[in-house]
Amino acid sequence: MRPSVLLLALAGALAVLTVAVLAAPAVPVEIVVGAWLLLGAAVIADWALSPGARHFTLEIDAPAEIFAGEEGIVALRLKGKEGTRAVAPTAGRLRWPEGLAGPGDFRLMPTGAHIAAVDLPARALKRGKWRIASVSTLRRSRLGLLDLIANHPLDREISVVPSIRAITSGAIDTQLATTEFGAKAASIHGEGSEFHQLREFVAGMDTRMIDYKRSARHGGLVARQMQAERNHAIVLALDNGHLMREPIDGLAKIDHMINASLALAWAGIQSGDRVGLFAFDARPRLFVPPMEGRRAFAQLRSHTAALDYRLVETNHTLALSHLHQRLSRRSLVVVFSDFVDTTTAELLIENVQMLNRHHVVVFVSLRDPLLAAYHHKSVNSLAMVSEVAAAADLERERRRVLNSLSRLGVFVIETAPGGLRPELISTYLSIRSRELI
Amino acid sequence: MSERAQNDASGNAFPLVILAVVVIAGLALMFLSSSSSRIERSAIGTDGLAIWLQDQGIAVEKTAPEEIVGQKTPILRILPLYDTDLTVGRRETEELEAGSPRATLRNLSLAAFRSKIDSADTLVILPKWRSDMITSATADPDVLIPPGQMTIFGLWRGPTVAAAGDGFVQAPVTKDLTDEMLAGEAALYAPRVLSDIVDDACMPVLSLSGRGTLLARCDDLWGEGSSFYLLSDPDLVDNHGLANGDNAELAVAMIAPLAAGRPVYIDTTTYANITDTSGQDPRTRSLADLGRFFEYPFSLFWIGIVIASGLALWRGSRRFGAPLGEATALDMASKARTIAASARLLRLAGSQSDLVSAYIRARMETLDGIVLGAARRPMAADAVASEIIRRVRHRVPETAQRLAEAYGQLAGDGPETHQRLAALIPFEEAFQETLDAFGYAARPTRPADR
Repeated sequence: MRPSVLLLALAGALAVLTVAVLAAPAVPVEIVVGAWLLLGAAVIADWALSPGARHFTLEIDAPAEIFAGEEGIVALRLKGKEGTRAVAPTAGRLRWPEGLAGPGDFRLMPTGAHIAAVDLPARALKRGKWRIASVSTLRRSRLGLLDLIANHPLDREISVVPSIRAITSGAIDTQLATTEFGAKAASIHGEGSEFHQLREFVAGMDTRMIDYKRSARHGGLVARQMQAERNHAIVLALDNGHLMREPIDGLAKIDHMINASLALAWAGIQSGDRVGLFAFDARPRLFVPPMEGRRAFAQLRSHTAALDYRLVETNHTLALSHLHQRLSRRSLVVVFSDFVDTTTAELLIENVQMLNRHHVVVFVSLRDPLLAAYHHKSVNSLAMVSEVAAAADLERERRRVLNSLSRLGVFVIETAPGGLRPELISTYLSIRSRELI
Repeated sequence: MSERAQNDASGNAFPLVILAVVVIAGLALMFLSSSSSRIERSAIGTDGLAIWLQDQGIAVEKTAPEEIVGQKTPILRILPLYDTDLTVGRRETEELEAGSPRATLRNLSLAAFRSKIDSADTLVILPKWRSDMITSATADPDVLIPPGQMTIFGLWRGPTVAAAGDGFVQAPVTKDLTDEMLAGEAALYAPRVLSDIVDDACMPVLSLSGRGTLLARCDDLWGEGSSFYLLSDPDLVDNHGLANGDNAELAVAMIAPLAAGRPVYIDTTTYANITDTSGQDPRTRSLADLGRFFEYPFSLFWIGIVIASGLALWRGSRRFGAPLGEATALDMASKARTIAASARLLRLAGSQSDLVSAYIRARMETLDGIVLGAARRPMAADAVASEIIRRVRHRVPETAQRLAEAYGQLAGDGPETHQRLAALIPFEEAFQETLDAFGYAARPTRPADR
């Protein structure tokens, strides 16, 4: 409880009125004492008449999970405990936890006779488990002389998890289905790297397919029939260094990357491939070997949700050489990373080149709208001239590195956050259909 | 209320401490300011006289009336003096009376005194007691101011008063003009009468029978035509004296004719409260001046201010909502910082010619991507520029012309640096127009925090 602005204004006005009364000899001075006593009595009466915090309860209705980068609705309802007390419009204040953002000040408006409510949009900014500890409310007293402040403990936990909206909406399944339509039957026979069956050699078959060892045992020419390999290994290598904390469109780069990588993981699992996870920053942090089936996806989801935001410089050399050691068979390695300085870029090229000798590497980087904005930024000072030149240098260097990677045979994806997922899945399907793994 | 308990925070002590300090300071100031009125309430003060005169139907002004220079104010001013020499200033008095007890309790300048007697009919009451009398309230020969020390106006070579007896003396008071005896007898301890010198200079009005002049009218002492009444013994009217013998009746009998129906104002101020247009402020500043701001009824204003401040502090001590946290480090890593740092280095390098070249290169690369596209065949930088200008000329010939001219001035090492810098503005304008022509208007930049 505290005095309201109205009470402060009245008290100030009374103090000023005192001077006016003193200046006018005709007015009795006792009027001032009377006015103060009246105000004091009004405050006491207001305090006695206004219901206290114990007469109200605040309820919260919030989703248990919100996808990173999306909004959820947190509903607050202020109720009279007895169910008979009217609830006036009430101001509320909520300090959002670090990973959530929403309006800090709001008003709970009466929706019924005994209830006031508000729906707050909460935008998920960072992965993790975030707790809404309490909400403060401020009610006006009956006469408006007092502000009745109450802190309502809530203790509600909201988990911000990587977005799988594209998976739950069926967008990826549709993309897969449209890509593989009509190609399934043809993919089995003849081509491929996986042994399917032995059959008798007939004229017109490729003589290189004859299995001479088994032909000798069988007493006739037998040919090996191959099919496209189905259980390829896909490793999602996520760079979790400080550069990946840079926010783009209100969400950290690493979160955009995780969302896209989970979409790719789903596409891989749906296509019968095995998907693993590798997270690294200054050193390798997490390696989940490639697994198949939908349970693998659940594991990947929980592992990516648990990745911390780190503030350390990425060591590509250590991470990629460690990954190289852990992979026993040819795999599709999707490196989600970024670079700024040329030294890091050189080391990155060197290590990706080494990895690319034995595996298929896709390098994924997010295009920063900041650099693109400098293309069109109007310049009116020498400082801005130098900024445009610096930004162009940075972009030129970046393009040079990505071109080098392309020349090495690495699939390079550099796109805005919105276009990352479709392009990544298209590239994956293209690699798969070309039997590059 | 229950939220009061919930909101009680341990960190709210600071405003209360501030409040306590303000209250203590206010009380201390009021105590200090009230020290001067201590004289009025003491045995030698005149608070009792005001009450007694009101009881007897004589109007008494509580506040200083408005007085204007050159006009007689319709009051009888009773001016009790607590200064043995009006010609001596405060500092000199303090030096003379270094130890206690003091004879001068309230300094009054001669100029202020003369202003007072000029502006209204005045009954001047001479001092008699030293400061011990205030604290001990016991009449004693040692507490009396020696007559030799009383050279009040600095006019005469000798004291203004003379002793007219020791111990309590009861004597009738007579009017000098008519020799009529006033009813009752004056009871005075070690009575004082006006000295012979003053007696000669002033006209006696009342006498303590057989002992000397008690009240005299002094006219034109400074040659300016002003006059005043001079009472030699304050015990006739002061708080302890009024209770003795018939002093109270005598005081009324003495003052009533002087007041002549006008209200009485007992003047305890040390300045002439007269509106003066001469530009000089005759007032002597003292803490007592400040004290007037804290006396009733003006103290009501301060009480109001204290209550309003207390309410404001109370409001400030109760927080609504949780405190805001510090900004997160999510925005720490951003290319904007890299670009800002690189740009600063480019500027610090001091080579403006290279900076302009880098800028031109960046702008032409942008136009290359927009105008020629990714599918252009490889060619030299100059050829690319020519091709861009040629393509722009197809669409907007005027802009292409200005772009070509500005590019010509900027490109290459030929032109001087200042010429190249001067050409930056037309080039930038032509560049932005080209972007507009090709549908790439300058887009707003990303938010400033990035």
